[in-house]
Amino acid sequence: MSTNGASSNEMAEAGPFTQALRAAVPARVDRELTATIVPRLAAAARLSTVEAETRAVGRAQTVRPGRRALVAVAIAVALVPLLLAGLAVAGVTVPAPARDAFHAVGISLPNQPPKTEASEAAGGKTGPRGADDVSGAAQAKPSGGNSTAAHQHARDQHQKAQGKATGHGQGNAVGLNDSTPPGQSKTPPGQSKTPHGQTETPPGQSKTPPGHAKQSPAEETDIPPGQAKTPPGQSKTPAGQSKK
Amino acid sequence: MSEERFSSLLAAARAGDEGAWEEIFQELAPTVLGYLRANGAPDPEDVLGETFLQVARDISTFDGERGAFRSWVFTIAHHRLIDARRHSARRPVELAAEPPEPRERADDAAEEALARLGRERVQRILGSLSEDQRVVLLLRFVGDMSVEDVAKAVGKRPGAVKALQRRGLAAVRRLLKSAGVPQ
Repeated sequence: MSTNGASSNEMAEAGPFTQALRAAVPARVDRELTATIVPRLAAAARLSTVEAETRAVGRAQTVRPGRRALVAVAIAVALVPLLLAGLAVAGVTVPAPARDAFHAVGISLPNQPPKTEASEAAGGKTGPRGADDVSGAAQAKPSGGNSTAAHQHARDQHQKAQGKATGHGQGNAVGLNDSTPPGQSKTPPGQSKTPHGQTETPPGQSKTPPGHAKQSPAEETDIPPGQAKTPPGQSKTPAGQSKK
Repeated sequence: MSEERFSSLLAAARAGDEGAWEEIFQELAPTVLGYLRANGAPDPEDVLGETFLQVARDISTFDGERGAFRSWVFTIAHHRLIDARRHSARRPVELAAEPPEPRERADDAAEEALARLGRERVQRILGSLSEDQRVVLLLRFVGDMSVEDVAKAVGKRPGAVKALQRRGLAAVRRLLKSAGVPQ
């Protein structure tokens, strides 16, 4: 027994009492109580130990949700290239950075414009869109999935517009050909291609005689002489759009 | 009981061995029951049962040697005693009217001292102490707990426990002197 808290004199003086206390206090426990409680104590201890082990296992398993989240993120990241490839196969023009990333690893995505066109498209976003903007045509029907048809349609539109515009009696449609945006000319302001005072064609005249449109060989058989498919001053492509 | 023997006993008790629990119960239950009776527990046997059931439920969390186990059991007994008092319609503490039936003989020195003082007088002196003094003296000298362990059990600082012990022993000396008991 420790004497901590009391001096040796105090302990010596109260010694007989503390000694007597040890003999006086303990009490006999009923045997029936012992016989009843001991099995309960053993059962409670068993249950407690099992629960403690279960808790320990549960604590170890609580780490897993974090790992699961990491795996989910990794799967999502891995699915991004697959998704892009799937979109490309479906005919969607994927963004240039994504295409470049695929090119970098030696994969060329299908249904994508050539690299030069792609870069032009990326650089010329502020300018008018050409009639052969395949991505636009394809993206106009996102749910249809008929990208090949859209592509072909866009190319036909482009060819028709090109043929009509060059042979039109009234001259080039505004913004139609040569990638010149409306309101802009290739030559600097105040200058023209021909010397001052001279024009290639007289004013009011076109290169072709009035009523004769320059036609492509394919269209010559379909359209009677003196008639154009589109009314004068109109082209099939909307004003403000020109070939790139 | 050696520490090695106690360790194996503890492991067996954790595993739910009835023999181990019987040994633990017979070793500690008489002193714990005496402590509960001396402090006027409403139903000492019932509180004793609750105490040991909690010991069994929490045994998987205990880690220590024999002395620490004894302190731990007495701490649980003290807490169960307080709970029992709260639930017993806040009756005033009544010390056992009849002295507890002694168990097997304690060591010779203790038996001699008890024979000199008389069991009834010891009970009377205990009853005349303040509750805090009685609890501290019983836990220190019957429970064999250190001042620090008693402080944790009763929720006081060690300095306060030392002061209670000093005042309690001083009160015992005065009572023994007034009763004419030779020191």
